[in-house]
Order: sequence, then C-alpha cells, then structure tokens
Amino acid sequence: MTQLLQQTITGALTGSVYAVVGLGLVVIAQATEIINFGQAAMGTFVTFIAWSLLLRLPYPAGFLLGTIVAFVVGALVERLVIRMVPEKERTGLNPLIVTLGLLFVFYGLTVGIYGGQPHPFPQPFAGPPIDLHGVHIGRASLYLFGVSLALVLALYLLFRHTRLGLVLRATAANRTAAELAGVPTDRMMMLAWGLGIACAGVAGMLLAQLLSLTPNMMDVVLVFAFAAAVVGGLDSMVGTLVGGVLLGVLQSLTGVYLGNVVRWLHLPFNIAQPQQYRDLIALVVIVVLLIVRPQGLFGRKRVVKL
Amino acid sequence: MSEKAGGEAGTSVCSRGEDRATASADGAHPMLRVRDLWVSYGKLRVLHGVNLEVKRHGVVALLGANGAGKSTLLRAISGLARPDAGSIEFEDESIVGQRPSSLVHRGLVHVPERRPLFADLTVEENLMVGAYSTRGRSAIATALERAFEYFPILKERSRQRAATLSGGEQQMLVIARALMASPRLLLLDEPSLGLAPLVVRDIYRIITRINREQGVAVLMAEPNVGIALSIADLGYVIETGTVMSVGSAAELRGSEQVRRSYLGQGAAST
Ligand SMILES: Nc1ncnc2c1ncn2[C@@H]1O[C@H](COP(=O)(O)OP(=O)(O)OP(=O)(O)O)[C@@H](O)[C@H]1O
Ligand SMILES: [Mg+2]
Repeated sequence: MTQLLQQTITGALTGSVYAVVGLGLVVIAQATEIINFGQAAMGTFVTFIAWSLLLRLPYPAGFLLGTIVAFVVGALVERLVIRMVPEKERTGLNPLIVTLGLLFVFYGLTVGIYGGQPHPFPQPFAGPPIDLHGVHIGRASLYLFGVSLALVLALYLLFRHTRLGLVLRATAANRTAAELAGVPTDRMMMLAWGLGIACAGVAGMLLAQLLSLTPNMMDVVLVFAFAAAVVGGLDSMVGTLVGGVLLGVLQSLTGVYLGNVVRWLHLPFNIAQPQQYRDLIALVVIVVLLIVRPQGLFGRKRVVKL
Repeated sequence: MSEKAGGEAGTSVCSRGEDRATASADGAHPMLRVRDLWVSYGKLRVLHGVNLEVKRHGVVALLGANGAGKSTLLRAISGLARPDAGSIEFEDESIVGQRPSSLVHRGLVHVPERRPLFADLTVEENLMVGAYSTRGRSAIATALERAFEYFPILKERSRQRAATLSGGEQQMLVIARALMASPRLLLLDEPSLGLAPLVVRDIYRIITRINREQGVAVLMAEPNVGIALSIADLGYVIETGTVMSVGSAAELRGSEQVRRSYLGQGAAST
C-alpha cells in the first residue's frame, strides 16, 4: 500500500513536467498549427546553455537567464525558420519535416558544442528526501513540481486574464480575422514560439536537476508531453496539466506493477523487468486516444491536426 | 474623359473605358485612390486594371454579380491579396505591400465577407481584440461605449459566446469590432449576406449613422443594387474584373448597363 502511494506520488510529481512541455507544444500548435517535434531537443540545448551560465552565476539568476534564452531561441526559430515555410504549406506535411529538422539540428548543436557526457546540474534544494509516514518525496521532485505548477498557473493567467493572452487566443482561433482586427499576427507567432520554447527550457532545467544533464535527457519526455497534450485535445491547458500528471502516474505504476497485471490477466507471457516498459505507456495512450477520442478527453470539438 | 470621381452631381454614367474612373478633375484629394490595379489568384487573373476613388466621408458601393471581383478588390486594398500591378494610395501614401494590421492602425479597416468572428470568445472579448490598435484604458472604454451605442443588442449579449449570436448579431459584431479600431475608412464586404430584409435595413441604417456621425468613409461590396444605391453616393459597377461604369446612385438606378450586368449574369437577387 505504501509502495502504491509512493509510486503514485512520485509519478504525479514527475508528470507535472510533462504538462509543462506539453503546454509548450499546445501554445505553439494553437498559434501556428504546427506540432514542434524539436521541442525536447530545443529545451535540452537551452538547458546546456543555462548549465554553462550556472557555472558562473547564482542559481536564480542562471535559471531566469536560461528561461529568457529559451524564449529568444523560440522566437528566433519562428522568425528565421518557421516563417520561411510558405503560408499555404503550413498545415501540410512540410512543417512536420521542418520541425523534425529542428530536432536534429538542435541535438547536433548540443552534442557538437557540449559533448555527449552527462553533467551534474545544480540543485537549489539539495538534501535528503522528505519522509511522510513512510512515503519518501525527493526534494528535487518537489521543486520540479512546484515550479511546473507555478509556470502552468502563470500561463493560465496570461492566456485567460490579460489582453495579450486574449489577442493570442484570437490569433490562434482565426489568424486572418485577428490580422484584420489590427493584431500584428506575425509578432504573435513569434511570441507563441518564444513562450512554447521557454516552457521546454524550464522543463529541461527542472529535469536536469532531477536526473542529470545529457543530450538525450528529454527524448522520452517529448513523447509523454505529446501524450499529455493529446489528452487535452491539443488545445486545453487544464487538460494538458491533468494529462501530464496522469501520464506520470501511469508511467510510474507501469514500471512497478506491469508484471503483476500480466500475471493476474493470465497473459501468455512474462514481464520480468517492468521498468523496461514504463516509457511505452505514453505511446499506448496516444494511439488509443487518437483512435477513440481524437478531440482529447478535454478538447471540445477541434480534431487533432498533424 | 472628364469624369468627376467624387461627383454627387455632374457624374455621367459611362460604359467601357477603364481610365475614366480615375481622373479627379476637381482636384480634391480622395482618401483612397486605386489606379490600374491587377490582381490574380495563381494563374487566374481576377482584376484587370481597376481604377477607383473614395472621397473623405464618402460612401461608395461596389456593384456586380457573383464572381465579378468585388471581394478581391477589397482584399487587395486591405492588404490580404497582393496585386500584380497598379497602385493603391490611402491618404496620399502608397499602401501596397503593407500588412493588414498596420493598415488598421492607420485607419483603414476591412470587414470581410462571411463575418469571421472569434466564435469561442465572448462578444466583449471580440470587441477587445478589435481594440488592439487603440492605446490607453480610457480610449478603449470610450470605443466600447461607442460600439454599444450603435449596437445596443451587443451590450445585452456582451458576456455571451460569439458563436451563439444570430446571423444579424454576428454581422453587427464584426462591424462593431471594426469600429473599435476607430477607422477612417471602412471596407464592408456584403454585410447583407443571408440576412432578413428588416435586419439588413437596420444594419444599413447604422452604417449610414456611423458615416454621418463619425465621418467614416465607407467602401462596400453589395450585390443588392437596391440596398447599395439607397445609401451610397457613388457606385462602381464591376464586371469580370473591370469597372464597367461609374455614377451616382440616381444615375446608376436608371442605367441600362447596371441592368445588363446583373440580368446578364443571372445574379439578381440575394
Ligand atoms: N482564394 C481564391 N483562389 C482562387 N480563386 C479565387 C479566390 N477567391 C476568389 N477567386 C475567384 O476570383 C473571382 C472573383 O472573386 P471575388 O470573391 O472577388 O468575387 P465577388 O465579386 O466578391 O463575388 P461574390 O459576390 O460572390 O462575393 C471569382 O471567379 C473567384 O472564383
Ligand atoms: Mg465577395
């Protein structure tokens, strides 16, 4: 029982970071109708930059600067790369290929500049796990959860309660109408990409202090973030948050209990090491959801556009 | 050759002749001046050298059957469509190649056909998006009040999602949203489309009031000749991408050319 609780809580905490990356995907997908497969690679690249800054700067300054760098990288990529895709091709296969290109370019940049070896990332709240009646909660996990939640809340407030957020939503809903209403929609696209990659950068810095900093650290995260976004129908912020946490829990539980479930169902095979299957659960969720409920558990009517 | 493009009086209906519409013999600077405008979609040429002028505070109607190119002309003026050739001047400055949003800041606002609104936003939120180019809380509040004054029904509906409005209310909302940007020239594309005659009359009454009270010039595409000529002081008849005739409402009403433009293309009533 304690183990179940332990796994659930650990999973939920980690899941919050999937929600952050997922929200970044949603912000970008809403504004530009593009799924950014480069999200994780870009986030990791920015985290390496933040790491090199943190060698010289105190943590809060480095973290803040890292976030700003992420924003600028996102905005520049929109301006210099995404905008070069002809407007008519924006919804087809082309942008997908372009963002796959971003994945390889940024992965290559990371490995090229910083090398492939892992680095320890500074932890603002290092220390022994907190013990709650036998359930152990790592400080790094707790910190990750707190910052993730704060970021989700900040984005929610931005989108729901500011004029800028309103204009971003209008641009996402109907770009031509927004442009005709006087909104400089090209700048809104840059802003959306900036925000989206800022999410990825923050997530990268949070993950790096939990695990350690490697060029591949966010590969699996992207899949989970995408699954979280799909749970939200690619347009719901609340849905993405819930999706992220749910997926974190599912992932954690799969890693421990998959063997038991298989035995209990009398399936004709054995799971010796459930740990190896825990990352597959996100793909299962994506496939099942896209088939059964393409608008997501929370999405209203929009269908996932790829 | 001596066409007074602004003319309330003295403008004769002319058939054929692309160059007649431009010459403004009285020398008064028009607010909008379109000269020899060519526009195409891909390989399909839609406008063939259109000339047109709108005077300050004027109301000009674009008449013509479905597919004549009225919307395309408006789209080219507002920057949505890129012309192949020709010039467009707004308040004596060339505006070809400018983004629609920056033209809104300069006072040229396009209300496109089929009334695109932000369906999931509330009525008030739709209006607030329209106020993007308006700076300052009090200026925005004033603009909102003015919009509600012209369209009181929108005030009642202000917290409702735009998608839940009736067709007439949606048309009012897109016009009100344009009004939020404090335009000096409004381009209206078929505000009457699919609406009941009474609603159409209401909307055109309000458009007339906006023109008189705010001094906003209006250029509108309206295939319904009767409605258009009832409020416009000048009409341009467009047929397959060229201006076939120009004249005052009275002149066009009796014109053989207008009758042929419509009956010939079988697009008489909407
Ligand atoms: N996006 C487009 N791509 C290709 N062709 C187009 C496009 N928009 C319009 N056309 C063509 O250009 C021509 C003029 O269209 P336009 O919409 O300007 O006419 P209109 O006078 O506004 O007609 P209506 O009264 O039906 O609104 C038509 O033949 C139309 O088929
Ligand atoms: Mg039209």
